[in-house]
Amino acid sequence: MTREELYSIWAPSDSPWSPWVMPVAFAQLPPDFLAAAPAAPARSPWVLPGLADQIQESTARSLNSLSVPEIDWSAVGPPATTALVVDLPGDQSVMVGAAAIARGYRPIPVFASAAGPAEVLPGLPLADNSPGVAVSIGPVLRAILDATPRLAGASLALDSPPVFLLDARRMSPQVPVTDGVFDNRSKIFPEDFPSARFLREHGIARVILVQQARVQPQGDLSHVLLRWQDAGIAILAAETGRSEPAVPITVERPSRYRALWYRALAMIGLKRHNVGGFGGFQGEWGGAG
Amino acid sequence: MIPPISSTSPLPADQWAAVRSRAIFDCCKWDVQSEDHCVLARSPLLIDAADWQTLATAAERLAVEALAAERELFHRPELHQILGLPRTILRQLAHRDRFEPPAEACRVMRFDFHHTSDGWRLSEVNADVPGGFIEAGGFTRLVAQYLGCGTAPPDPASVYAAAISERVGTGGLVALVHATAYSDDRQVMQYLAAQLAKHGVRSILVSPAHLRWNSGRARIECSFASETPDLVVRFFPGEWLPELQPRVCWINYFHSSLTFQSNPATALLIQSKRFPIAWNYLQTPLPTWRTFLPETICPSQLPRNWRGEWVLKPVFGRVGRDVGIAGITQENELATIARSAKRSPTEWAAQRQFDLLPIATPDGTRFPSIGVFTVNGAASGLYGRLARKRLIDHEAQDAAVLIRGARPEAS
Repeated sequence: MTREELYSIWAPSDSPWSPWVMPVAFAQLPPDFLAAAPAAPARSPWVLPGLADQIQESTARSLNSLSVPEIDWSAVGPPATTALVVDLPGDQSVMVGAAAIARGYRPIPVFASAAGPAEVLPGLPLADNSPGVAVSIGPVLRAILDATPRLAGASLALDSPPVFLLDARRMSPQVPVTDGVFDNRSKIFPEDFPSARFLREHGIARVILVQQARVQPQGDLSHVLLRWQDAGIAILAAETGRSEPAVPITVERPSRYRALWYRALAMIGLKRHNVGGFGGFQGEWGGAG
Repeated sequence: MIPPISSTSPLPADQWAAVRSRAIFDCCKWDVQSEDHCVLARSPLLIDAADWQTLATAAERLAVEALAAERELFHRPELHQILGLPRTILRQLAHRDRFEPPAEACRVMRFDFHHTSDGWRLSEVNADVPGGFIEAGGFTRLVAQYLGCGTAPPDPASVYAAAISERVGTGGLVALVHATAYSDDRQVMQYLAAQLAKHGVRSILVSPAHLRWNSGRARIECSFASETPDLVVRFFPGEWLPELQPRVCWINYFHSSLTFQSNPATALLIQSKRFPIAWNYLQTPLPTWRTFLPETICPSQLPRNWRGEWVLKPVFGRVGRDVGIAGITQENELATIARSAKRSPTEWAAQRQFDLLPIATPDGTRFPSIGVFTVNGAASGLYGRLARKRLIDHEAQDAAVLIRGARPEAS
């Protein structure tokens, strides 16, 4: 399997949600990475199938416990009018996405961080933590590889609703971003998602945000969700690991909301973080790293 | 009037899917989608060979004149305030008697042309960190390959890499300096790194924080590399450099660098939208600029009823950001821009508005712009964009530009 074939499994040509599968993570794999992977026995990036199932089942139980309104997680078949946005640490996001496949959702990875210079190499394992890299993408790529067989084997309907998968660590470096560290923190923007009109045209009336121990979305995600909410899409929030039902939320207005040049301003606001690096942002992003 | 550029039929769905996939994986084009639309136009543009020659010749003359003007401006600090440079940069350049210009090599620029009712007109030059290498290079070649008609212009990234290879030699090392946190920028650097590798040149992708300057020489010092580059390619806007701390991180981009730079930050002297306001004080003749660039004045000199006749542009705006055009820019946004230009006129330029001509495309009426790359003064590629409105901004699509008929001669 090549990385192009891997990408086509996650972004099949006949799904209306495929255009939003962000290619960055897939493009970090060397062209011969997957061909080389099976030949690297003990250090293979592939998780053993049994372990992968355990992880996925565990995640599925966690998702089941969300008791999301109007979604019967034990029922077979896709919920027709609901999309999910999962904002968890990247590998967990992918695992939730993998579990959601069985519920009829199509996972849409939206990971914007590039790999560190020596983070993804042919024949080497994908590490949990890469020294000298602010946000390791190894766990995300490994989870994508793990979940691929499940997605490839699924018979998702063309109109399966999306579950957008984000990496909650995107602005939270795992190591202090000193001058020598490769800073690959990232943000997401409204342009990275379909418009509210597109969602409605494809039957989506509500979006459930799944994240850990918080109700309000991260600042950059607020720009996305509030646009949807303003356009009449209901936004609900659910926490993993709790059995409480998802609750409707009013997304708080982020600074520069709907500013014509929000994206450009965010880029121009890129400042050298006070401990180094270049992923720190002024204004609302100042506390992110 | 028969337009010199036209749009073709869209590529068939299967071919387009292949082009899109190869653009992602072969050409590092990772940001292919923006909200509900693909940023890559499925219908390429065709330009007449004669017009390609016209634009190539104009761009080459513009590049020669611009570099001569930049050299003069470096030694004329009394004109720098006219250009609207940030104060921190002004202070550095004010010491030009004690400092030498930075060592430079492989100057790359992009001149943005528009077809108007008065013929081709230039809106601006991207002389500091021009973008569009992937779209004008690999993507355009892919489209030409599948379309089967029209000839791809030179790939600016390949021409650029060849020029760098000539400078640093086989096995030479290049530091590709960019904001690593932005995959939009990193994809360009990875594409350029691949082109450099084809020419036998090594490269390391770094942020400005990974570069140390000692006695004017750059050295890469970070967790993944410790080497001395032969040349620094900067894909980090010059006006952002003063944000770096301490000051020694960035002053050598402006002067006293012994390591070759492409481009040196002195490019800001001609990147400024207020560059034309300084023309009358320069000894350097600029006949081609005067021919193609619309009249440009300080906003403080605007007549009361300027709307509809003039366009307001921020001195270092990019991708159409904060450009104020009556009838195009939202009224509240235009009012804000006008107030800002009145309050701080040296941070803005007023350019006489030209009459952009639209073309018909399978997606409807669009306004095209043609960016002409020059590398070391030679025309080296075309970057097409298509906008729904009379302003080329972040919502415009990238379009391959192919040349009708004969093979391109300029490069």
